[in-house]
Amino acid sequence: MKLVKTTSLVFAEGRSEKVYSVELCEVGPGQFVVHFRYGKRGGPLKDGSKTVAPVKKAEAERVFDKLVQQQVEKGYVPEGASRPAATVAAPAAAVGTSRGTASATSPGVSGSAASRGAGGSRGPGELASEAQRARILERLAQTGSDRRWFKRPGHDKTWNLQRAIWRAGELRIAEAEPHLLRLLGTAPLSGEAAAGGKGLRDYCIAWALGRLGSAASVDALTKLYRDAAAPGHVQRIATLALVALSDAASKEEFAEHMVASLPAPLHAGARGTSPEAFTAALDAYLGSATPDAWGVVDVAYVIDSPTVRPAILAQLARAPLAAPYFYFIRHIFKAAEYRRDARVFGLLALRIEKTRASFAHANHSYPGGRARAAPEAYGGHTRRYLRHRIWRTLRRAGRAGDADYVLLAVGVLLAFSDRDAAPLIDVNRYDAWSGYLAFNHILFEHSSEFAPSAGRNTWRVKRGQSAVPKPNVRLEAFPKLWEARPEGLMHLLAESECTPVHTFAARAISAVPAFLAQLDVDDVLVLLGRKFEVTARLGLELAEKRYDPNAVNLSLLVGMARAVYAPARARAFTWLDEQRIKVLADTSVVSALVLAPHSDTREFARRLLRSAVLPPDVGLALVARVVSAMLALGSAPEDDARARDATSTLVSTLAPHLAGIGSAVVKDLLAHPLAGVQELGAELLLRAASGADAASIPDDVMVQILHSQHHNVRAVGLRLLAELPDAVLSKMELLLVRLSIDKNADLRNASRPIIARVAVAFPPHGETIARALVESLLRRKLPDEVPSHVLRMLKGELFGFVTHLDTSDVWRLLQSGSAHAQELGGLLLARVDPAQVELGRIVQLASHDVLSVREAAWAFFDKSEARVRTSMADASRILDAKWEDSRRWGFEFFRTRLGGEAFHADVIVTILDSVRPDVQAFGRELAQKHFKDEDGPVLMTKLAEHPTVAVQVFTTNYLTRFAADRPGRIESMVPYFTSVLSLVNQGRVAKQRVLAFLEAEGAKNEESAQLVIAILHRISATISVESRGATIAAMVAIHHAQPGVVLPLRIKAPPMRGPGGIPVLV
Amino acid sequence: MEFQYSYKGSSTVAQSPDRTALSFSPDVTREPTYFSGEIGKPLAFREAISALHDVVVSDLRFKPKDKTAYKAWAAQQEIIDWDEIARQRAGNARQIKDLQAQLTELSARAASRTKPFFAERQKYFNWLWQKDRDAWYVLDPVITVHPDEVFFECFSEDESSYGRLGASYEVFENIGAFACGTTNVDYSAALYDEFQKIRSYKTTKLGIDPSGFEVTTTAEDAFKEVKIDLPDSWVRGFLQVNSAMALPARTFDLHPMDVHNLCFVLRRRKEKLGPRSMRWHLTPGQPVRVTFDPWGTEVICRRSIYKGADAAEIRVWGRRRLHILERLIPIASRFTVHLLGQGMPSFWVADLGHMTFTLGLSGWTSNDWSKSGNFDLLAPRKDVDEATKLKVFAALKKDWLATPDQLVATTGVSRAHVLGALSAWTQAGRAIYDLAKGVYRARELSREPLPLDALRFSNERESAAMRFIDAQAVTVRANAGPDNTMALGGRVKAGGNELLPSLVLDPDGRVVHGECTCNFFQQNQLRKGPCEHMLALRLQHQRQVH
Repeated sequence: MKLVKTTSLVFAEGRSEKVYSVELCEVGPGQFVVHFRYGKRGGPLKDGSKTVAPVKKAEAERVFDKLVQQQVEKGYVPEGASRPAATVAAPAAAVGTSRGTASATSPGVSGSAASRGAGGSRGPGELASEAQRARILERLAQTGSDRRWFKRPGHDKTWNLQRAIWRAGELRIAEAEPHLLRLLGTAPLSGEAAAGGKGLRDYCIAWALGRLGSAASVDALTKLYRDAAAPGHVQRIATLALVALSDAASKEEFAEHMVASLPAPLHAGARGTSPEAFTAALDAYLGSATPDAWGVVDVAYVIDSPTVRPAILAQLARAPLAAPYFYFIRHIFKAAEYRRDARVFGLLALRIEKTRASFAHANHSYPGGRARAAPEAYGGHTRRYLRHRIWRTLRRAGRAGDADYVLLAVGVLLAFSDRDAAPLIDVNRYDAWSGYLAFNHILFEHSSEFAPSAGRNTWRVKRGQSAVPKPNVRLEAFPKLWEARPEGLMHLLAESECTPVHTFAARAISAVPAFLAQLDVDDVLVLLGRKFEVTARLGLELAEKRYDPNAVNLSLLVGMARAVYAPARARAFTWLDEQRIKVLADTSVVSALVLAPHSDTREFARRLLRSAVLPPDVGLALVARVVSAMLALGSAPEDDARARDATSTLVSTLAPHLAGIGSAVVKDLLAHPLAGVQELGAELLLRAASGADAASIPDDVMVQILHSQHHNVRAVGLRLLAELPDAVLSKMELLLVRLSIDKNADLRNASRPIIARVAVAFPPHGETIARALVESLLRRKLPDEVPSHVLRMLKGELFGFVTHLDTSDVWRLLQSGSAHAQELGGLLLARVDPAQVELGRIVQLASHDVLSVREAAWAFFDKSEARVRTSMADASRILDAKWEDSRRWGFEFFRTRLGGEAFHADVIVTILDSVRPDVQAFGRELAQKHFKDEDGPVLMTKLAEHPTVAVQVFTTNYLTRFAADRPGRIESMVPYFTSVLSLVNQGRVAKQRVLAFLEAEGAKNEESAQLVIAILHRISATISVESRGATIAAMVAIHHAQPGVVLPLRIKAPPMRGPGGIPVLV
Repeated sequence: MEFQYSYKGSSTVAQSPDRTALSFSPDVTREPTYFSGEIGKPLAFREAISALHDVVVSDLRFKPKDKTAYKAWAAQQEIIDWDEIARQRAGNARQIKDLQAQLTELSARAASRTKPFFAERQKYFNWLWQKDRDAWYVLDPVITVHPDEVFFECFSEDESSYGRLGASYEVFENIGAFACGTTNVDYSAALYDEFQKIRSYKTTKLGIDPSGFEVTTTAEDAFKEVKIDLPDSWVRGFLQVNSAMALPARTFDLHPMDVHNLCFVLRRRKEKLGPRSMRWHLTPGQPVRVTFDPWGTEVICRRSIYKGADAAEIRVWGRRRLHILERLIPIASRFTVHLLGQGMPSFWVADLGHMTFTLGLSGWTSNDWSKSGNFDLLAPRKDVDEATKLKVFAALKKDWLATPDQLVATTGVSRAHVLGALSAWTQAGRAIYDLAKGVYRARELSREPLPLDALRFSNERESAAMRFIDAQAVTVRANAGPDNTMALGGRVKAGGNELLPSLVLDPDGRVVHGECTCNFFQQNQLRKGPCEHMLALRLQHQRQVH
């Protein structure tokens, strides 16, 4: 079969690229076929044929042109031609044009809108004005309920007595005490709550007495407290009131009494002085008891000694707001409010704000007495009530001008931190703090833009208002109260972790310059130490006012230089520079700067020291101070940075004074866990050794350094090693090899130049090292990265030594399991004489997994052209290599370097024997290109045995030319015909060709007819309509041509059919 | 179950234009077994051993697509969509759109930049897959050398197909020295490619050579140690198919083109719904007919007349496994089919002249519990005492192969006891029934005897079910249900109680619903598989059907 002409077409669209090649081949004199192949470029192509039987040249040309035309119409273009414009990728869309529109997002903080003016708040006055006082006392004196107060048109309303009592307590009207004592117990217990029943009046009286009463009330309250008939809430409030009114001695006595009422396991802890012991005891007790036992926290809160308080706070922070805990938490919340315990009040306020209600509606009301039995607690209504109560308590205190307002507000604000910022729902109208009711009231009560929503549960920006905060406008509630107690603001600045709180407090405290003026240096440093910029800036302003160049306070400067706020540090550097004489004289100041927490300060210290000359005694003292401070460092990462900088400062600026450090200290430094500290030790060692012989360093110290877990320290060790003379090093080959395969990269990398040096100076030792490294490479299980490092060395500076390796070693490397060893083998292979390598081995190497080996194999092959020509059968196996690149190289070599004379039939068959589609395709290409008539029969008979369908189809091309009129050949090819015809659902063209061929041959003589009929008889059992019909037709045709051959068919006459297709018996 | 082999070198095929030398490297820890000879009919051998390879790699189990990545993406996308809806409501739609466009552009650019990386990585993974492909083959084939033939056996990865290629000595020329025995051989995927190069014009030499094939001057380990941890179910499946060969079956011959036709039907259509069975209609004196569910396609094997005594209709499943036989169609002179019964293993013996290829198919492609009941196959046929068993085995091992009658003659044991002993040895993997020649052969599957007690049942419920059957404590009644389902109900007497299990089987014989009044079912429903009573019910029904 000879290729007459071929056309390659390509089709490219998007990411797909398909090829379609059409071939016109001559299969015999005047016999032509048209084949096509198609598929994805680079992949295996599918074959097909347009001519079942060979045709005349003109017909073949027509089929060929038609097929090409069809494909061109489909969009294929001849290979190499320019592609149609439509398939060129559309130009990339312009990038970034819409970028400018993306900036209109509003800033996250919108809470501080402009205020509606400072005039909105009422000024603080007396807790109760004369009029209030008179009205309340009058109401208390009037016990009848029919008297009308505060008449309004259309309404007759009497001021509820309980409210009046409560108001008296709120305003601390001491004159009300006798009235209250008189009213005690006047309401029937069973009456309506509105009329003071259910203990409500007594509750209010006890509440008020605790706030306004004197020693005169103690007896009455004690009675109430002891009254077993009184409701629980009355007893509890009486207890609190009693405690509030008692003197220190009776408080202690009462506390002891309450301790005794605690469960026995807690007695010892509560009486002791260790908060930890009590916390542990309480945790253990609560851990082993039922949740109901949590009530002991309520009791302990009555005691509230410094011993028990931490444990109570811890419990309050984590107890769930749910039954049964909430029953007690509610008591504690009210007690905290009553006692003005800002910490507990703020803590619980935050928890109530942040904890969702257990259930949505408050149908499950919370009757105190039955709380233990209640299935649930802390419903939606309860939460709403409590949230509003927090602000109400504050508001009423604030309106009354009570200083407690500041106290409680500080407690509420301090509980918040930046972590409590909620995810934003709607950046335009809400901010991260919108959900907190009292918080926003305290901070933004006077904002004109930011206000509570209609349901008064959240705060949001009013419609149409800007959310951008206006600077320097005070928005908080009760600004006068804050100004009266600036220490509250200072407390917030010193302790709060919440940005809005700092913004508020810094602004508010600026309005009290007198207070700011009397703050001391430590207070200023506290402000400077905060991470909140407004506060730190305030601190810097204060510091600037305090700085006097003539009477300098060094501790202020040091504090500023160590402050978190960077501008403060920058300012401190300027001032420290101005005062350098004083500063350098004070070693504690310099030492503090050298080990400062911020790197710029440490840098400054280094600069300072670099430009200074210290007297020996001061220098030594400074070094001693810094070193001892370094030894005292912990093991935190930031400490390490400090230690490193300190080391470099000491080394670069205080070098002359370092000699004074003793060897014991050096060892201590080396033993320190921090790398920075160890580095100093190593550095000192290096200094000690560099003057003298480096070899004099004790071995144990050397090992200690080389095995340090910090690479800088190891680096010093390596430097020590590098300073050894080559002669000494050359005797340490083992150590060097060991370092080269160490798991630490720095050791490997640093030992590399040393080895290079030694290898140059002492070639025999270099060879030993190279050999040892080759062996280590052959050994498996080196740590990761090590083999590649060793390989780099062997490829690089030691390559001169490995080239002397024997050929057998090269094979060992190639056959090793390690890819790196194989690669080295591949490199060395280039030095092996190609003539010494058998062709078979070259072919094997072409399938090697390592590219360099394959490349070497190609080079060998390239140089062995003469041998290739003499043993083509062996050589052609390189085409069947495992790796595609080897195969492609082989194709190229065979195509370009070898002419047609090299490819006789056996070689082509060997190539086609491969099971790889690309090799088969190449084989077919060769078979067509270098086809010689005398090869035809061999090719046909040998390829007929190929198991692949594609090759079987290919073989059909030879049939008419080399098998026709040769009965002997047909007989030998019976298995081939059988297998082609037995293909299941594939090889249509091949089957048609074979059938046509068999039919033609069978008709020629009887001998062939026998063979053919046998084959066709077997195949005719198929249910494939096409094949069955064709085989039967062929058999009948053969029978007609050769009547002597027995036909294995019985021909049934078709039934006669009458009108309507009904069979008729004849 | 862990198997350990030790090979000296790898099996290799040396090719040259006129010669092919197959050298199998046997397990050196087993008793020395060796053989060498030239294959007289290389092409048939090539096709047959390729079919054997197809059995080894056959895995037709249903493998669902891994959709985790897609689901993760979809979940994320849903969040983004909802997010977008929320944002659109907030009036930022246009801005979002612009940003999205930018983002799309950026991700397209990122994708185009990372594309080469991913392409290369995929190439690397493909390479790794190719490189470690041998790890995919579960068990290396077993080669047995007997005085009359050499045979290769293997079992598929999906635990459902058994292949055996037996080559009589007539196939070989120039037979060298040989030692009878059984051994595992080293096998790799590359060998298959080399088998394809076998040609009739090359002399093809087959060698099983314990000395190994000295190929290289290598520093590698002298021995290749292979450890294979096989699932118990695999070994159980192998033994079940093995022991099923000795069971009585309906047998008929098929013309090679009949097998072609069966494969043709299966190649032409792909079923998307069950039942996926073939129904064999066997009528004495009539051509064998096969219908393919669910299409009802009928294939009449006009040249294959059923010669059995009584008519039967037998359904078998797992029909796509028959494609293994495709390569044998041109070279086979006939196929003999052995059908054990509905849902039971079937055997296809291809007559290749002096070679036979036996394909054993278990009842279903996947051997999960819902189709099981095949543990019955490992039940002892007859209780035979240990001494008799050993006596029979010793007699068998002496000549390596024997018919039961010959064993009766040599041992003097009654025929029933000989058969009982032989079936016990077959179940233990130490003997095999040769369907083609009708003889028992000594063939020890593994070096160490297999722990049959541990293998017989996959859990204790199966053994309990067997006890109920043995105690005849099960009654079963079957009713046809809607949609061709079958409802089984019955009673199982367990201790003093009577339990009422019931099952519903779909047209493919799978359990689609099951209930029982026992405690195990009350506690676990079907999550841990069926209870012993359901298993007993099903087994009893199976026995009644056959």
